[in-house]
Amino acid sequence: MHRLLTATLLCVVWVTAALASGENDTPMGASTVSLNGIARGTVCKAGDSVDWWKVYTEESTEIVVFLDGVGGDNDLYFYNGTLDLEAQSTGSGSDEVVYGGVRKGWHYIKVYRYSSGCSDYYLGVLSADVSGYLRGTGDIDVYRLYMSAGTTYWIFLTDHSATFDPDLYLATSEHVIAESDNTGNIDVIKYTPSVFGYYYIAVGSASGSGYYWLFVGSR
Amino acid sequence: MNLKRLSLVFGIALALGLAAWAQAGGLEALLQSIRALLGEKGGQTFLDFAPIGDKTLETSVPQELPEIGKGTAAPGATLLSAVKAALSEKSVSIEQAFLLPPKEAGPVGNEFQEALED
Repeated sequence: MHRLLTATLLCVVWVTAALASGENDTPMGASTVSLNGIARGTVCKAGDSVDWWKVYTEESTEIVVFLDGVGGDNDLYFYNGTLDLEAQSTGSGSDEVVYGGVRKGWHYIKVYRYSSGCSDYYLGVLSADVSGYLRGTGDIDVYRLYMSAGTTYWIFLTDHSATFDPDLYLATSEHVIAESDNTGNIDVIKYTPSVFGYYYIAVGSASGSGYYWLFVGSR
Repeated sequence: MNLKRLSLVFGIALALGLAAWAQAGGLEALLQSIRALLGEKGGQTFLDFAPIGDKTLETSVPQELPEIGKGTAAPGATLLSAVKAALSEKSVSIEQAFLLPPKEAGPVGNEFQEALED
């Protein structure tokens, strides 16, 4: 009788602990984030320092995987379907990003809480909305986007060339309201408009010519 | 026998109750965190706001992003000249939260490229 009660209580403790720390602490229990979806989660250094996610791509495509966290230091790791590490973003802040071309299949993502405390985060996996080619320094492509007030938009621009440096701009019909002119192969603008309406995304070459990919996610 | 059955039923009921309580508590905490997050991050950007210059227009045809937006309104000359000006005034790289350098060197970087299938 006592054994039965003890076993039952042990089960209760185990189930409670498992639920409290989250169910996606291992690749086997990875939660699914849909392609072009933005999921949310929480990691805590004590007790729940790792969240695993998985995403399925139905064809070869360019993707951006970003982590938009709050406070402290989070890290992001990206794996292929056989759990080989393909990219990592381990900056000292709570926001991270990896990007590149993937084949059809499952891909795994690990969110790791590096510093103490907890962090709520958004995790986004975006496939390219459009790709284009800029013909030399000063060439500009312009895209139009309807944006809703109060919605947060993440806009990414990537390329894979060492000699090509495209920059990213967000503008109204007359004014540039935000720009990202990173010299690496990725630029990002995060923006929450207070007024709904059409905005313009401009991609311009600061140097060189080459192909680029543009991604827009919102939540 | 009956006592055993009763204990088993009680145990299962207790486990399910505790599981539901843990989920509800966690959900409420998460919702509160997200509410706080939304409050904190409204309008936040990772950007700078560049001054607008007045340079000569070089036109570019606007394109609709495939999934978003309908109708057309060509960007004004002012917009294109502003982008032109911003391009030519490329500043020192801005520190963006998403692009901070790594704390320590890892085996791989931020960029990956899977080989295409045969």
